[in-house]
Formats: sequence, C-alpha cells, structure tokens
Amino acid sequence: MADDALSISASALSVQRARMNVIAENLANVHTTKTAGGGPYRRRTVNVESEAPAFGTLLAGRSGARGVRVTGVVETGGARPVYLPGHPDASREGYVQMPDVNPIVEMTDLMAATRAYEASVAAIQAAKSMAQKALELGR
Amino acid sequence: MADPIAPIPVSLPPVEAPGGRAAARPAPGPASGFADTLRGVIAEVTESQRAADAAARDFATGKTTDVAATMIEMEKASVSFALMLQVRNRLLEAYQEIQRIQV
Amino acid sequence: MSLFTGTIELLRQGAVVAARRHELLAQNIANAETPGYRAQDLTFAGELSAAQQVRGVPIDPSVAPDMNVRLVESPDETLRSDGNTVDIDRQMPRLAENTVYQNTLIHILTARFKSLRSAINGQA
Repeated sequence: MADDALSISASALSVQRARMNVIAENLANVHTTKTAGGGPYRRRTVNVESEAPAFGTLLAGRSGARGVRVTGVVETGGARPVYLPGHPDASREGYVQMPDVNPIVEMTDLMAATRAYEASVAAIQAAKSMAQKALELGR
Repeated sequence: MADPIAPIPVSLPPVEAPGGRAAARPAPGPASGFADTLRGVIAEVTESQRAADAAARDFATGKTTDVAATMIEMEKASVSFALMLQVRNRLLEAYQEIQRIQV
Repeated sequence: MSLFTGTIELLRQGAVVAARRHELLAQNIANAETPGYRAQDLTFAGELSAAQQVRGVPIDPSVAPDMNVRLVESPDETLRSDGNTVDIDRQMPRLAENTVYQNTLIHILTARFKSLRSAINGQA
C-alpha cells in the first residue's frame, strides 16, 4: 500500500518516467506517415490518476496520503493533412496524413514531467535526511 | 556520601518547566515512601519498555514508517531504564551501608 | 512518564505532525501534473488565524493533542486549466521548511535526552 512518503514519491517517479517515455515516442514518430496498423502515427498521452482519498479523510495517526498511478496510455491524436505531392504516401490530390504531433507541445510536456520528476526526487532526499537525523537521536 | 538513613532523592533536578510532574514528587518519609516511589518508577519503566517494544514492532512490520516517532519511544524507554538503574544502585548502596552498621 | 511530560512531549508531537505534513507535501508534489488534483496542507502555526480555524478539518486528536493542527485545502495560484492547484515552486519551499522544522525538533530532543541522562547519572 503506497501510503508512506517514500512510496508516494516513488510512484511519482514511475509515472513521470512513463510520461517521458511516451513523449519520446511521440517525438520520434513526428514524421511517421505509415504505421504497421496502417495510417499515420497517432499521438499518445498518458492518463494519470491520483490515489489520494477525498479531502478530509484523515486516518488515525496517518495523513492518509497516497501517490499516483498511470491508468492507461491512449491515442488521442488525429492526423493533419499536409500538401506534399512528391511524398510516397501522398494521396492523389497530393496530401499526406501527418501525425498530429507538435514538437513544441511535446517539449513543454517533457519539461513539466522532468520538473515533476526532480521535485519528487527532492522529496525523497528530504525524507532520507529526516530519517537519518532521527536515527541519531540520543547517540 | 549519601546519608544511609535519609530517603533517596528520586526527584531529579527538574529539566521540565516548573509545574510539570517532574517537579512534584513529595519527600518520602517512612519505609512506605520508598516502596511506593520504587513501585512507581518500575511501573513507569515497564510502561515505557512496552511502548518502545510496540513502536519497534510497528516499525518492523510496516504498520508505521515514522522513524522519528519510533526513535523517540526507544529513547524514552532507554532514559527511564537508566533512571531505574540509578535508583536501584542507590538503594543497593544504602542497603549495604545499613548492613555494615554494627548492632 | 513523569520525566517526559511538558516540553519533550510537545516536541514529540511536533515531530509526528512534521512527518504527516511531509507525506501530504509528497502527495502534492507527486500529483503536480494530475488533472483535477487539489493541493492540501497541514497548518499548525502557534495561533491559527480566524480564517484558518474555520476552513479545514482538525486532524485525529490522538496524534498531537497539544497542538492546533488542521488539514486545509491549500491551492497554489496556477495558470492551469485542468483543475490542478499544485505549483511545484510553491511546494518546494514548504518541503524545505518542514524538513528543517523536523530536523530542528529532533536536534532539540537529542539535547534534552542527553541532559536527562546527565541528571540521572549525576554528572555535569
């Protein structure tokens, strides 16, 4: 049960790593016009859900805090028709269906995921520092 | 050298704020004062040992992850045990002094 | 234990509350990117303002009976449109402050226990 501080922060690391992986995949496929399943690559996003209980439920002696988890990776992107008549995948009218992946959006999301990752790392360091200090009690 | 007939002072110099229980022990008089004081100290030590044991078990089983709270319980048990040890040593010294008195 | 009422007990309660607050802040930070997540915090300044007394819920009374601790919704101002009220730049200073608070309490407790032992052993 991820209800101690380290588990909460660790769950965040996993979730942000998953987001970074999906963003990397989006960026790598920004020009993929044909996938194995046919059609252009479709942008993916990660669905993240908090396991935190509703506000005000404070368990006896515990804060009741919880972490986060990935509930799924979904394809949310469509396709953008781009006029490229010489392209091997162009239609008769000269349009190619390109993935609806905007590198700027992906980079912004990547920065947010990285910051969130680093912040949870800092939370883990803080927990370690407090535990080490407590272990020296009376020594 | 402690006067062997006089009561062993169990009230330590108070390190808590005045008015705390640490400062409020009545001066023991006859033998029943000893016995009561010792009983009280032993009861408190037993309780703090029990609390420390419970804290250690809770931590070991993952019931709590609060390192600070666990260490505080351990330290409290250790300090109260040290107090009881001192009380026991003083009593023993006093007893031995009394034994040496020629009747 | 008669040795441990008063200040030591209050310090202990503060340490317990600080650990609970760290869990909450870790939860906020973990949910920095979760849509719809609302930031929370524990408030326990010496005297809570009237506004703080009204909002939020008191925590379980057995945790810190001598402290006035309340669980509050503590939204940061963000420019997000997804209902998330966590700003990492606001959470990090709270995390740092709470860590310093906890470490200081432990430090003071260590000194108190040392001085109790000295008193018990009859040494300076």
